[in-house]
Amino acid sequence: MASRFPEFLPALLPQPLMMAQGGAIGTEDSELRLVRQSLAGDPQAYAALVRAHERRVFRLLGRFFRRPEEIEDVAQEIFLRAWQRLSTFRGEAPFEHWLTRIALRAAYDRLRRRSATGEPLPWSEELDVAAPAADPTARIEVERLLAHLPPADRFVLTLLEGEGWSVAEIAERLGWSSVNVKVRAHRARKRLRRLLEGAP
Amino acid sequence: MSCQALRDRLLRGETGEPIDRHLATCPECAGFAARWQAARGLFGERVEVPPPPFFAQRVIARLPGSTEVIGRLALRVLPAALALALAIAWVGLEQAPLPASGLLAEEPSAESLLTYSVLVPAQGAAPPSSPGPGAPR
Repeated sequence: MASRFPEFLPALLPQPLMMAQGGAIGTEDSELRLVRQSLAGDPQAYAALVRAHERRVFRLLGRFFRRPEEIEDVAQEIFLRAWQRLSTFRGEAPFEHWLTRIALRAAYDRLRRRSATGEPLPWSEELDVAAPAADPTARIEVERLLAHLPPADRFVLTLLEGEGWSVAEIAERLGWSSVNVKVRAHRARKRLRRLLEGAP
Repeated sequence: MSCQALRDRLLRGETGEPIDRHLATCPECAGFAARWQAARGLFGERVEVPPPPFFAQRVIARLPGSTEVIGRLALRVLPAALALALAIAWVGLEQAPLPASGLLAEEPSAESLLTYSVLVPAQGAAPPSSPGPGAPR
């Protein structure tokens, strides 16, 4: 199969480091090799990369989506995006970090798209949001309150509270500035507080 | 500690004895704290979906230009291509001049016309369904 990329491109990637740990081939090393082979047009090398990271991507998506078919759909989109941008991977950071950024952005884009088209968001698909609250502290009632949060707020709060990431970690993994994450987190918490106080 | 200050501290994830004391005496803040705990639990929820078998191959099949994609496209296009080929062949046969046959190319002779008119009755004449009175038995 003919390569989609110029032949010189794989050569631009950093050479694999000869491992300090006794010359053994490390994971990052073999991943770099797989990336090069993928760039040279070898789909089976890319399949190996997908297999190495698919479980992590599915776990991450399980935070934002509920239906297995939607999780798989977004996961496919992520790996297709990664393939299209593979030439931008420089090997300076682990492949996992590079892929996580693509995964988070794809999840965020999907949530925003659903919100923009008026589709119910994944966490409120089976909820009757307008139903009156019987016990305001019950899980289902809180879920109803959270359904009023904009997707961007829910996204940031899930990363902060669910994944337990710091502002700096979110900024690094999403490629946003720390100030941007701080502002978004502050706004999201403010809106959440209003909802929990019973004033949506 | 005011209710406002307590809620700010709760949302920052703080805990401690002053917070517990306030919550013990303020039912509104206790309700807020319970809802906040439930919300944190919801943010931490995760649907466990394992990647389906052959997920990587499905991704590969969707890569632009992959042989799998070409193969799938070919399978999809094949019936249409066959139908089109048949249609073209049909139209071609319909419009092509028929090969000249001996019977049609030549003018019928007077003899053959006479034979035809004797053997085939004229249009409108009743077929001999029943023999007439003078018919030989």
